[in-house]
Amino acid sequence: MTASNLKLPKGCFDVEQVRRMFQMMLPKQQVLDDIETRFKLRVSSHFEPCDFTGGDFWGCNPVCDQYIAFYIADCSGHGFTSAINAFRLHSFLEDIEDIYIKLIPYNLISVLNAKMCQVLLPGQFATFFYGVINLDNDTITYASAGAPSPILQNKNGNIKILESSGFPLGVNPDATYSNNKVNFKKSDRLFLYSDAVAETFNKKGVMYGEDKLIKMISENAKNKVPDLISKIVSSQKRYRHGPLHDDLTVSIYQRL
Amino acid sequence: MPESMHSGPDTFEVKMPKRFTFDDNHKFHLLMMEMAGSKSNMLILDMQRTEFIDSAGLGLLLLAKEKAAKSGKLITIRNPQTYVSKLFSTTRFNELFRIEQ
Repeated sequence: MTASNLKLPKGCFDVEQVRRMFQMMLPKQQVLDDIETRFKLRVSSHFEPCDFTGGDFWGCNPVCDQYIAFYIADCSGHGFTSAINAFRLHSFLEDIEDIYIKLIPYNLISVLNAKMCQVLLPGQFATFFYGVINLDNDTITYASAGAPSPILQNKNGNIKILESSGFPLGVNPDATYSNNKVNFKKSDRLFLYSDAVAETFNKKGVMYGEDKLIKMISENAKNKVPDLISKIVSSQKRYRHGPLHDDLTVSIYQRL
Repeated sequence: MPESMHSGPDTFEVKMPKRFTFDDNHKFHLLMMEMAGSKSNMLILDMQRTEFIDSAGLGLLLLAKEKAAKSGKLITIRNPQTYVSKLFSTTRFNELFRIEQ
């Protein structure tokens, strides 16, 4: 259903337009299907904004032969403020054409940080994780700007929490970032998620936490990724007391 | 809600809430204005009871840092607990603020 076939009060059409523009920043299914066919990499996701639009976005694009870049972003705040900053960050990211920046995560994050420092208001920032999968040597090289630590699960079900410290984008113009490298072999899975996944509270005020998420991933090592995402989302909904307080994003990458 | 605990000639101390989120925006801004106008040269944010800070709360800390710097004051974050310490480590806020255990 779109704004064109709904009788919306004045102003709602704009909100619907913003929502549709936001959806356009997320990867198209056709692109993900193409990545699965060409690179034997299955990408599954769930995105649920807490307001009419969000400050989270994620993406995945081939950079060149055997190299695939992926990322997840979370702009602070809610509603229009975070959506505007998400549009800015996405535009800066899309503007980067230099392949040597795209292939070197800490370079790309440094470029984005410099740009975000120029446009964000004091107190605003964005967390960001960027990785490059190298299918030739079965590795991921990544850098992070304060994003929640991704979870890597190998084909035997063993879990590794990736180190992901770094200044969020827009906080410190002098920030430096560094690359990390991990193996990413056939049948391995990588889980990226926004902070809302772990930072959900139940009726007693107890947080869902990273431990519950890891337990759920461990217990569902043999399940297909879309089923696992459904389980994570439904477990989160059952646990949560009241509505979502932040955008909820999960994206999972699996080597086939 | 954050509460002013003590305002003396040297320190302006704020007891931070159990959860520091956007809901604390107004009260925290008022406290920061009070802090900026005070004679204290050190702002202490006591996080002994703080179990959770969301991204809006982190943004408020950055604003407080800026406001304190403009009025020539320093900020110390005291007693951050496990979850908050981990968050400060992930976001490197532990390099932006003086942390006192």
